[in-house]
Amino acid sequence: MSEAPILAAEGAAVRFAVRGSKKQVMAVDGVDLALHADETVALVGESGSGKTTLGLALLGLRSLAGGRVAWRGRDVASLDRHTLRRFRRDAQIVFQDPYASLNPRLTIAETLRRPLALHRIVPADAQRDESARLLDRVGLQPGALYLDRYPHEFSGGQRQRIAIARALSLRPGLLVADEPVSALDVSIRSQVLNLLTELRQALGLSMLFLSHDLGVVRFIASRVAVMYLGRLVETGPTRALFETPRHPYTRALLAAAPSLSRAVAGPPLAGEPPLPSDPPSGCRFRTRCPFAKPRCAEETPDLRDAAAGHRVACHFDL
Amino acid sequence: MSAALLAVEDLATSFATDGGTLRAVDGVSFHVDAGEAIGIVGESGSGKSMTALSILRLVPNPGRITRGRISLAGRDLLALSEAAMRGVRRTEIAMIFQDAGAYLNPVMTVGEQIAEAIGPARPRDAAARARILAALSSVQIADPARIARAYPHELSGGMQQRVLIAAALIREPRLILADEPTTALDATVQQQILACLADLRQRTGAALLLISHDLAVVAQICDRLHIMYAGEIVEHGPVREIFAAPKHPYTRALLDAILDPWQPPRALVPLDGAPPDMAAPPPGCRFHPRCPQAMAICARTAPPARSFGDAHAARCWLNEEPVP
Repeated sequence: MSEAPILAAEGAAVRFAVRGSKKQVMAVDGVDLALHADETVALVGESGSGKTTLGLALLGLRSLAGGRVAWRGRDVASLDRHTLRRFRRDAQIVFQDPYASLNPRLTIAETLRRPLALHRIVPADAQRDESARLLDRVGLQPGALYLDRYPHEFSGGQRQRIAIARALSLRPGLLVADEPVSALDVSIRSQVLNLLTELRQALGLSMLFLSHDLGVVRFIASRVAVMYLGRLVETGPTRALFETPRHPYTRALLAAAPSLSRAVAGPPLAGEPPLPSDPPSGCRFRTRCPFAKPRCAEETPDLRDAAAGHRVACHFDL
Repeated sequence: MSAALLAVEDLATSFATDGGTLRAVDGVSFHVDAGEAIGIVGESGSGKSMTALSILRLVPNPGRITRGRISLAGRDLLALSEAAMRGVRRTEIAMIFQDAGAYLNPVMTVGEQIAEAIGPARPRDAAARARILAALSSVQIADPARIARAYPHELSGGMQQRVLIAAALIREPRLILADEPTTALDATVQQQILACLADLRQRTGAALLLISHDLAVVAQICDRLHIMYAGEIVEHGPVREIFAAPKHPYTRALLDAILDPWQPPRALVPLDGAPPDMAAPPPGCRFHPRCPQAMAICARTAPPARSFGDAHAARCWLNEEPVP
């Protein structure tokens, strides 16, 4: 692709200090990830993988210890004030917990009005109408009816719709969605997934979708990146990655996913994820990998091309 | 018919609130035979957790069991004194909950907590110690001596859940009651815990009542399952039958909502709306406002239970012919 990606991490690293210790945690360690126009990239990983930290770093909400984040080709760290404002408007986020991400003391009208006012999206006298239109857009119809209510008057699914409406209010080009359906019941989850898919197509949004749920990822994403202890272990087009997963960790994740199409689940992966403050040398997955060889402890595998657009960080062709 | 280990008949549990009486559980009946694994599946607010708490007589205030019978091996649990009920909870029904960390004492070591589970006398001799280490080994903890000295905060979520299971099972209960035991865990760890539960059940012969929002998880380790909606069981039957031929539109919707990572994606046809307010549930069939196949009668009269073979039944007017 000749055009610069909408958003890209280039060798991005994020470090955290550990309280009461000189140790540091490399939450994100040298990650390259690009989000192009009109695509949905899913970032998959378990807790502690660093996917949320990477998502926040991509939005400029975590400072980098190395590498850079580029927004439409420009380094986010060196944007002037005016351009930084445009970046903040262009890149929006929806969080996992719709009970924590809405201010309980603000009416929905006020929650939606603030970003509209801050970024002068519409004139003051049009803000209420615009807010109602946004609620209509996310399926809370008629929106005007809901404007003067407070978050506690809504169910989890409705709150997530409101959070999506707030993100859309600034007419962004890209959306980071951090486990947006994990807290929702299955019947509500389907509604919100369909809404996100429809909005993405209608508004031409690019989306970075962070999730631990492979079923949801296969449904929504066009490309997938799998993360383990701060590093990407595999990236590729969704279909290729699900049909021929190449990294042993990706295979283990798939084997662990509850499925109706297999009579028995795969054997569980042995062991627990290592502590991010004390990652194994070499390949970070080697302590749980059924194929680990001595080389895996000595050399860190980099992502390499395994097939068209499909990259894997493993020394071996498994 | 063999006598059931646990029999729940027409159980109703309500909460008196400012907004009226909330019928969390409304006329629920089911049974668990010795050694059997059964599942209760439902979404938030369906009453599945309140059913579990009712069995344990741990319904939080202002909740009350207003109707029904619960018997364990023929004994009426609702008639027991509080002291006798404590004994049942300690030795006969083991409880495992979602958030294992919240059920472990943060200022006691793992070993001390398991010792406490053995009995109030807290034996400290070599035999008790061996029993504690054996319990930790039985939940596939590789280094039981080290974990026994650890405090809960030093353990991962998966390890905490294993410790809770070890403590719950040390008295060799006849029934394990597990409420969303793997929901807070990562997929690879969830798989380990499910394998551990299945293994323990095989070795001890304990029965399992698994409560979950996740049909796919329940299907993995249960023989029979019950689908709850708005305080009622709308369908129950053997796992295979329910998956192959669901007889209630809500069950069908839950099955349709499963996203299988092993299959190419397909279009999702979600249910409209949300579960009802249990202070004022809709008349007739409680599912009718969201049901894609609702008929006139559904809004008027609650459907009867209809059996399909020995163990499969559902409550839906679509199964009645002719439709009244």
